[in-house]
Amino acid sequence: MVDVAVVGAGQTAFGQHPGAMKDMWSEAVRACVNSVDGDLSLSDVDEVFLGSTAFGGGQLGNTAAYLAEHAGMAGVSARRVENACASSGFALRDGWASIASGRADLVVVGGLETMNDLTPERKRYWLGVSGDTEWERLAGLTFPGTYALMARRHAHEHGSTHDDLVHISVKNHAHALDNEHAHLRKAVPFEKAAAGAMIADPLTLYDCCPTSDGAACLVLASADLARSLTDTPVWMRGSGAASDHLALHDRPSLTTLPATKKAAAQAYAAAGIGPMDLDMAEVHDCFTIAELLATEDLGLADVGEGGTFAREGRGRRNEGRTTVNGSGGLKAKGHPLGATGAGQVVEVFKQLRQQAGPRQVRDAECALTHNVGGSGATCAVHIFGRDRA
Amino acid sequence: MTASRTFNGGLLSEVEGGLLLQSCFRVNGAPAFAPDADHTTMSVDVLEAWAASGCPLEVAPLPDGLDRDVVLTSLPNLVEAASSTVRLHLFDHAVAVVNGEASEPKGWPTDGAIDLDPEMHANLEHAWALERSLTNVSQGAYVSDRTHRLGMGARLGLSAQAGPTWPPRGADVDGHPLSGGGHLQPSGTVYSWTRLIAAGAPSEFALRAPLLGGLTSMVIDLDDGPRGVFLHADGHDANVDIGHRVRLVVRRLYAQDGVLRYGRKALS
Repeated sequence: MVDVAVVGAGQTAFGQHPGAMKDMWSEAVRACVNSVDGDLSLSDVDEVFLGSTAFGGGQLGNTAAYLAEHAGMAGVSARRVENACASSGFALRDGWASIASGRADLVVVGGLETMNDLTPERKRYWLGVSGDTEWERLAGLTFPGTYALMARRHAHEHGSTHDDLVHISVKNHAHALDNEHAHLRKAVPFEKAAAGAMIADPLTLYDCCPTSDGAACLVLASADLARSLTDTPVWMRGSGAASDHLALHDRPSLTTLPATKKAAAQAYAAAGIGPMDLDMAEVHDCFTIAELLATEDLGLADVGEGGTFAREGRGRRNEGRTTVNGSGGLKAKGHPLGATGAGQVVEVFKQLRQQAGPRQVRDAECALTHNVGGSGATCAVHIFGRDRA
Repeated sequence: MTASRTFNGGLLSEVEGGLLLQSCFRVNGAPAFAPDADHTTMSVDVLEAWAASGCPLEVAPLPDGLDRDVVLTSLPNLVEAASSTVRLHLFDHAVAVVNGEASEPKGWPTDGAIDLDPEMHANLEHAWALERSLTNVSQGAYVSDRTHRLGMGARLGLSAQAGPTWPPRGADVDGHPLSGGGHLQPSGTVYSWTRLIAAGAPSEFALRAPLLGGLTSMVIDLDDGPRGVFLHADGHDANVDIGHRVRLVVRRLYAQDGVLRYGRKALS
């Protein structure tokens, strides 16, 4: 297999974006191209993989062609990759695979979502489209409810508390203060987060990520090409992906996401490392309970100990062994569904190149991204390294 | 008429030759249906009570005013026979199943009665009317009429695929038949639950969830093995917790394309 590196990464700010879909995508592509050290011509790109749920249906079909052309890649093979919130995590995997297999040398991976140009009613309608429609949705569930069911069951089985979840929220808000791209750049005191308005019992407002606009773009290159473009490539050391039952009622447990475990096992094996080797992890915290479960499923905490991990602040930037969501995570950096997975890699790219400014994770050499679709029906895990051994 | 007891969220009493089920809901002292109930759901309820009392489920042809598909699908063992003297009688917010003739209920039990706020009740009636109009179109996700009809046996009669697997998956790659798992018992235990605020409700519930103050959803471990996700029945106290026992009753779920769609909801 051909070694693959990320040689460029850029994104828009996540949050309320005033522009149109094309504007956002162009901004992310421009930031990405500007981050490449050498001369990069987009006309040399072999493939474009664009993650998006096409939220709102504004450009539901042929989204990738629509956007590739606009960003100077007319004629390039392009397709939209859709796996709910894990769309660009899987677009990344597709980009990696196309280079690793020798089929391509230069690939653009992107993610984009426009969510805040819809009326509140229409927005709400679209937020529930990635769960099991016939049986879950019509039992009243959208994702806040789905993750609330997981939180309550985890508390029942393992004794985690809502305060544990509040610690995650407070941490991620604190991390986002230093992130110029974050949707919510405000510190939230523990007492305020603990007393948030109820959304889906036991989850409150401060347990839920915001609804964000945003775009992110990555350039992947084969090893030889990467070395010609930069002296500091970020190597993709492991790629893992898996799927699981879409519907909660088909799962044996609500306190673990098997797709995360399977994808992580693949990625760790490919990279030849374990969770103890990670300096940082950008995990999919669409809800605080999702981060708690991720710390267990990725092996950062023992099974049932995710609450303790959060309570003891082991994921705080530069305090524990592994910084968890040093960017602010989905909770505070924001969650523009299809852009989230690529956005996680933008953060890793900066961190491993020591370009993250005030939020720099000390001596970051090894990083993981964890991107989940819906309530865990899909998951992509990637591991990155600063230097190739 | 004997003293009433609660059954499937209604007030059940024995009358001469049969059973009478009256709604326990009141608006300004007058009887009313539960927010998600009607004659169709109460007919299923009283026939389930009839079957539970050991009587055979063979009745004269069902009267007008019911959704026959819903009643027959909810009660897979129900047989309509022209020769049967057991009849279903629809009254004002009450239903009786009687061997012979039945008369209009003369009184309404007060024990177990639940008062509905008149304004909320009127708004819910209006919401159902809006929801049933053809101009009400759900967005973002959609269950087609065909998909809904294919799932009715599982949704109402709890028919399972061999295993038992519920809900049935349809034809699978191993060729397992859709049927063969029998009909599951409508009872189970709460595995997890949540109460979602109205703003988070799926679009199918957008008109009524604000009036109901949100939706309570539960993952239920069915007594026959499989697990399912269910709403709590509207109007009743949804004071549930993990480990609580629930019974699954037929209620209105929502309306789509001008048609009311029914399913099982949990009642604690």
